[in-house]
Amino acid sequence: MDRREEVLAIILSALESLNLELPEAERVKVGPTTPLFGPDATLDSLSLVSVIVDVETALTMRWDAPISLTDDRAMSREISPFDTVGTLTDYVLELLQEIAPA
Amino acid sequence: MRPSVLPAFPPPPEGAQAVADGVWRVTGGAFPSNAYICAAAVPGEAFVVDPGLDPERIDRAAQDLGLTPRQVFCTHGHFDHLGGASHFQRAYGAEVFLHPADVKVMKSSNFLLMVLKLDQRIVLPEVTPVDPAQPRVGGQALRYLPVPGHTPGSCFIRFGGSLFTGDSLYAQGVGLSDLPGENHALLRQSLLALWDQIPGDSLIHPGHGPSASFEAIRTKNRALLGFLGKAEP
Repeated sequence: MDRREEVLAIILSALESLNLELPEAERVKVGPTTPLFGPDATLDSLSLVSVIVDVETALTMRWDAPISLTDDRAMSREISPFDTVGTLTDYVLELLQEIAPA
Repeated sequence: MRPSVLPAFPPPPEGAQAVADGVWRVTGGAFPSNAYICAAAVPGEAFVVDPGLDPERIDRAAQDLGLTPRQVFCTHGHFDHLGGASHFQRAYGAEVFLHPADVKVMKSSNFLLMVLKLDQRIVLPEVTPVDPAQPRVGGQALRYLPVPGHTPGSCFIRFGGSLFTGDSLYAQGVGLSDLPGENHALLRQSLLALWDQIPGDSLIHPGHGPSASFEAIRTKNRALLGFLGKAEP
């Protein structure tokens, strides 16, 4: 499994964990193009925060280094990391390249 | 130490309410919260507790009282209690104090504003980490009392007979946000640990809602008593 696949698996796992807590009618379709935030997203605010915190925790444990996805660096990007699972994956890969170059 | 002879303050300006001797509450912001202006020992100077999302309003009230805010003390790192801190840092060089366990919470402020669909964004202040073991934080006669639970670094701030409690203790109800990072069991444990140490005549100044004496809260706030397992059957 390459690094992109590993990061994607962590994000999808966080979404699947969220789905376990939601009623069936409110569950999120889980995949690489799933919208996380914005008009197309079906996650509510607290659910998004919960998913991002779970992803941060899993990344920090996997790479044994603190990784923040919610600081102002993420907020200042032209393409929001929180648009979709794909944009979040890209952002995480960029951060990992700095702390643990592949 | 407060001066033994208090200066005479003008009547509370519009938008501010005197809630204790030398303490004024200003409520405002896109996510309304209480900030408190406190007269410092040095005449003409003040410190602000929990400046939220409308720092200009707090600043105007301080000016109308003839006070210059030189320090900011935050009960915790959520944006509605810290969002205005950088205004006072920029305008007056105010030092901003926060428990170190809440620095990460603070850094998530603009993310939380985004997900809550609030357009406002904040400038993060440079913070001085608080050491709760210090009896005089920032040289002021105040003390930080850790109350982890609402956030990891939530604290009460004791100043004379006043206790600023942020979102950890309200006069009415219980402040449970369900935000990730909030630990209800830990909040309950923290409040119970301090429950018998708070004098009944302490004035509780929360981050949202009215002030009240601790005696009134511990006898009348039934939601809180239920949360703490102290409600009578």
